[in-house]
Amino acid sequence: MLQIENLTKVFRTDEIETHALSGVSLNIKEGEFVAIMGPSGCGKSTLLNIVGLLDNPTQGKLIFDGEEVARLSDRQRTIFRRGRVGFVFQSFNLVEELTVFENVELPMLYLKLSASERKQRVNEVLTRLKIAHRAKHFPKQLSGGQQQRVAIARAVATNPKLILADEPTGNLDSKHGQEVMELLTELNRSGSTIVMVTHSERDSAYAHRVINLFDGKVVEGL
Amino acid sequence: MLLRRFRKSLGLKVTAIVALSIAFGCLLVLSAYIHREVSYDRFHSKSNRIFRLTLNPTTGLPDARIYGNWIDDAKPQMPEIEEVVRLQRLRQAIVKVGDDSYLLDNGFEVDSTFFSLFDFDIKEKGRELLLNEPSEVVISESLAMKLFGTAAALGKTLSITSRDYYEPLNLTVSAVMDDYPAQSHLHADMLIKRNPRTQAFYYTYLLLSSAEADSTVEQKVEEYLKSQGWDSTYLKGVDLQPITDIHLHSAKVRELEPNGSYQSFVMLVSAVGLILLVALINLMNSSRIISLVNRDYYALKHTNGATKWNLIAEDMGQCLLWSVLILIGGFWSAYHIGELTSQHIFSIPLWLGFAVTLGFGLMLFVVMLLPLIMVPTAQLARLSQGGDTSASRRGVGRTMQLFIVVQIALSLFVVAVTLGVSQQISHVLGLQLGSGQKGIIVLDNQTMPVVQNFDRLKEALLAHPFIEGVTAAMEPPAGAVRDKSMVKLNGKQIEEGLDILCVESDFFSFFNVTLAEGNMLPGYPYTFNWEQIALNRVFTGVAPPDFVPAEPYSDRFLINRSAAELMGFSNVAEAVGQRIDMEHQHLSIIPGGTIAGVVDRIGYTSMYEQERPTLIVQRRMFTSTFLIRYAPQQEAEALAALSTVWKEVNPTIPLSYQFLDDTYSQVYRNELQTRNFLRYFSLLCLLIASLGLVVTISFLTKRRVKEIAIRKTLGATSAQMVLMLNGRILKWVVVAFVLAAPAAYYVVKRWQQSFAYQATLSWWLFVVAAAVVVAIALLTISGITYRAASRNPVDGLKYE
Repeated sequence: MLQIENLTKVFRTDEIETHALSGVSLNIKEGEFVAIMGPSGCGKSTLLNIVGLLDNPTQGKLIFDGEEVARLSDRQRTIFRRGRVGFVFQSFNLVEELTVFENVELPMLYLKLSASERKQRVNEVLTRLKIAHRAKHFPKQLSGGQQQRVAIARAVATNPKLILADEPTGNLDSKHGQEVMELLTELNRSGSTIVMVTHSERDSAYAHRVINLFDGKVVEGL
Repeated sequence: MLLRRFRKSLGLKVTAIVALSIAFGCLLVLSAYIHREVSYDRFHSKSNRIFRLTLNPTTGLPDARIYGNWIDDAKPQMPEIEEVVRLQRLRQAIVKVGDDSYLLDNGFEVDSTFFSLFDFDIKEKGRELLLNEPSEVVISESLAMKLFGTAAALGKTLSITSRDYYEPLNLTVSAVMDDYPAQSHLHADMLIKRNPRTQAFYYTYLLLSSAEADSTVEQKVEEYLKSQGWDSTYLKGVDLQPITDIHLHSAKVRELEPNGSYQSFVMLVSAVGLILLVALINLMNSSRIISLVNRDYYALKHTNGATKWNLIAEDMGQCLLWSVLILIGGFWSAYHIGELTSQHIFSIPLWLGFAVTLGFGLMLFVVMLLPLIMVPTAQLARLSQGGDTSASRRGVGRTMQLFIVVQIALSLFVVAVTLGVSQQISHVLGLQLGSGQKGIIVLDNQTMPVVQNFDRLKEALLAHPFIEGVTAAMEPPAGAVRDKSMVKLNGKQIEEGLDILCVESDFFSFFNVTLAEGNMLPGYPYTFNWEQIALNRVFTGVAPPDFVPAEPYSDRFLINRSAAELMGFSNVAEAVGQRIDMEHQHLSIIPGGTIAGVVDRIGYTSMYEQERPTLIVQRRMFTSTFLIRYAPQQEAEALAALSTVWKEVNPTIPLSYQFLDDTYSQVYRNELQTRNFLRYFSLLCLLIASLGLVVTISFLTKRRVKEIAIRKTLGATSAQMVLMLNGRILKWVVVAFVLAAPAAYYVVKRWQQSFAYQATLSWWLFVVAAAVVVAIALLTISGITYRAASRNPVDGLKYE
């Protein structure tokens, strides 16, 4: 599903050049649950952002479903991303001014689905993730676990092929963290490909495969 | 340290400082303007006891003058009146000194009591009792300089010709007085003793025993007039105007000089008040934002032992720096705004300038320190532990949004009022004859010898191909038609008299006015000399043996539609050919005539009152205002030809003229000044509001960086984000429109009430105002929103 070849990402400021990724190559198959691990600053999130088409690599190839996407413009990446990639973040990244329902509905707005279809799909996914009773609440009125549940609902609402999770349990206690991991596992079992960045050995144990990154390179083990 | 802290959020601070500097500049200019407008005639030591006596008629506008000397007879019955002074302007006066002639605009015949009411410093005086002899004259210092140069004027002789003198009046200068202060409704260059036996229209001033006696005297004068048989159907009441109120509150017919307007005064004060409010909102928003930006700094200081009052004391240094910069910027902008609006800042008294500066500075301190003062100490402690400064961040955003809506509403209000005022002024000017047409000049109020030579002047001017037309009328354009005559229609008295407008036969064709019915005035067969003899015959019954009087009903008139209605004609066609008899001593030299035609509206009088029923008559002696039309592209040739022809026809009389549009500009001086001021102020208001919008939108957009990143991550494009961010501006404008449009409509409607002809306020006026505000708002913020919307979402997601 995803082929990454010799991927490099360099951040430049006036005086400093930082190589966040240096020649990363890897393949991710459809239906896989992959965990990316490594110390802080090793390039995990950068890799995730490039895979999620939020950013372009400096060099290298990124083939998503057979299509080369590494050189797309910002607008092209946005359109390509719609409905294909779902995101789950450590800090949930829910829009505070929107209700749970509206937050989950958000990606569907940009897919230009009809209001009735959006409503049906939001209700389905909220029920599936057992958060329907909080549909009219604002994020601030929910616990951390519930907020992450909403974020996952939003990530899967458009049935994306790929779900990218950036330390999804990082802001949660162990009980809620475990709940979230079980949820991701369940989604994976039902066909979603998941790429998860984590520091947690326990969370990585839920993945089929662990990729270790160090100083921007894929390494065998740490 | 002070400067290091100031440099933080520098863009925001500079924006706020620029806005406040402009607002302070406006405030200073306004202070100078207010001081000037309210200080008129206060320099007289008895100003609180001096009143001008006028009478209010039941129809039409009141005259600033009253007729006759009856107040002398009434005075013994009113012990409250200590002194009476009458003034009569010398009409069409020319002063001659040796062989040199000068036009005199401000010459007056006055009662000898003049100097016991009015305080004017006498520089040179030949005798103790001034204005005691009819052969003596008091002149102003500037006139003395004009007539005699640097030589002493005292004892010098001069002569005056005027429309009111049969022969030149030879006078000796008995005193030279200081020029009148600018803040006086009366500016006299020459004072001559009035003949107490003559009867004319006089500006009549009373010195009362106390400032409170005016209503008693008004009542007594009214009772006196009734006892003398004055008809209450013509006299509505007596009005004693305090001399200090005349400039700002009096808009009577034939005022001594164009006065100010209280309505315009209120409108301008309000406009600047709104600018200040808009700037104040900017300051409040900026202070709030700076306070939020500084919260980490406050928290750190507090953690390290600083109390809230330590922090306030430290911020006072910042306030001082702000204030100094704003005040410097304010003085600079006041100078330039003053230049634009002719309200020169240096005319402001020192004490007033100091008080305004101090007041504004204090206000800056209070508003800037308020956000910090309002933070409870307990919250400061929480803030130092990483908490929020305010109870709700959303609350802060909402307050700022509310302020923005208020700012947009105020800007929209000012723009809509400006457009409404402009529309009304264009409407009024459009109704005036010849307004907006280039190439018309006016030579108003000419002396009798010049009027006598009109035909020669006209013929000589029309010999030039670029002179397209020459005509004459009784009054200057937009001047008051005040001659009135009782009229008989087919021998039957019309109850209400008609206004009389004397014009030359080409008057209506000169202005391309077509008639509603009938024919234009035919050529006038009588000469100036014939009229003089005929008039003399009316008064003395004597005429030369070869004098041929006019045939009965040989006169031809035009009337306007309202005269036709007053006469009871159901349609204007019925009026043509009907017989008219005028009961007017001067005009009845031709005994009766018929109506030749009807004009819809003449458009020659001012638009402050509905055009009255008017009879249009041809008489040479009374058409003392000349109008000349020339090819606009040959202006220089036309003016040169006028000068040459004038010297040939009237060699001893100086030429004086003005362009027709300038004449209208003088009449509508207040309205045009209000419009111009409003235009500048609405631009400044938009500028200040836009600066405020930049500051607040930058802040509010910054708070949405993460939301934008989330939305972009979920599939939104940059364009969609720009639309989302700009869309709320449209929402705010809609809310502001709902608030501002009815208020602006009400204010313009109220202002329009001083005009007899009111423009219909079009709906598009308000839409244009909203469109202007939306366009400026979007132009202002689009850069900010575009930058925010096109930011890489990866960066935005990290933003806290």
